[in-house]
Amino acid sequence: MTAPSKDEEKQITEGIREILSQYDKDKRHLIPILQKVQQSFGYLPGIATQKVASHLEMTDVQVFGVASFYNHFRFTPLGKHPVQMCMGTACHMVGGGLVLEALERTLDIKVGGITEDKEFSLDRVACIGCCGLAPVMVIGEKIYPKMSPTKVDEALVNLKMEAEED
Amino acid sequence: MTELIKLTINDTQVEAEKGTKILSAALDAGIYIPNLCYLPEADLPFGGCRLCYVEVEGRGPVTACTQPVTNGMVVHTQTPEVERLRRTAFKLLIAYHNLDCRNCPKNKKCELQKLAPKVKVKLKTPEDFRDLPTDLLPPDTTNPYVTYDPNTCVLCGKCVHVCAQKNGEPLIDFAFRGYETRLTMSSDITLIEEKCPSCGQCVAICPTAGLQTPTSSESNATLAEGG
Repeated sequence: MTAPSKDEEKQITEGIREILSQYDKDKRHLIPILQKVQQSFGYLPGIATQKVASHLEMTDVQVFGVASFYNHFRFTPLGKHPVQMCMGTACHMVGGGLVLEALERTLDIKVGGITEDKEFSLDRVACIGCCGLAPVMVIGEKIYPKMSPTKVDEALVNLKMEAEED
Repeated sequence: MTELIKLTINDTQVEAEKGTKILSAALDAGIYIPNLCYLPEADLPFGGCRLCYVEVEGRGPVTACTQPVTNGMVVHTQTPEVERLRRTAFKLLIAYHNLDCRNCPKNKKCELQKLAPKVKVKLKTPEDFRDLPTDLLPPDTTNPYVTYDPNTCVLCGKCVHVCAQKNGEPLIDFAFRGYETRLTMSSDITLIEEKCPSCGQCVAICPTAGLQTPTSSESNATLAEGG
């Protein structure tokens, strides 16, 4: 994970301070605070756990313990093109796992990770709601139906070229 | 004076104070029940290792560390059923454990090695389970006083408890879940230096080689005495 730049860090610290000012020092606010932080930044930055911990008079490991327990929270930012692979029952049954493995290989990242150029992030999601098109992959807003490991390259190639042009 | 409860453990009459758990009543009476995560001083039993299964007549198998004694309770600690449950629990503990005991700093001082003959399980990766990932995870060396080895940790939670007792709040805690569950220490070095008193209690209480002092295993003893 690449560390955020000085400017980003300042922005994050400010943002977190503002969120924390809305909550009093009570442990029961932990998850709502973490949700708010994730809503603002798309992920939980490293300094967030410390700031939240000191606000709630907890230790940072306790906050990290709670945050890491839930799949909902992520510790890496979303890529420009967030790739989501459906692992719901239907997609799982028709080989969603193989597509996910192919995505991990092609992007050279693990689930929950982000590529070095910050173009792609990879996540597994529970159900997208179009089981008839299983296995389903979603990149940004676009749905890729009836995926297979061999179609992964094809789906990513345009986005990758776009990234190189920029 | 607190009320005394009378119960039977393995045909022996045992008396224990009200609120006592079966496990501590048995241990106090000299009846051994395998246990790993049990801490007598903890208010709430962790109940994570599942090695202390006993059979209570009329109730079936229960974990002895969580079940309070009641009058007339009849407990058996050696029935085939609870022994089977213990074997399974122990196999689950070692299924994910780096069993390279010969090169382990805790060799011959390890709780798992002591427990294995008592639950009648050989210390080798169980073959009747689904394959688990066998790659060794890197140790966590951010804390200058304690090194964490996720490959030998059995997640008994003892260190989390003693650390919380000592420092008011734990500086070690569980993170992630399922197979990925492991312990986590603060990744911020300034925070560690500010808060961790380097008392070595977590290292001293660790039943395996999960937590060690970074220099060598020999300095464990000196550090523990200091704490």
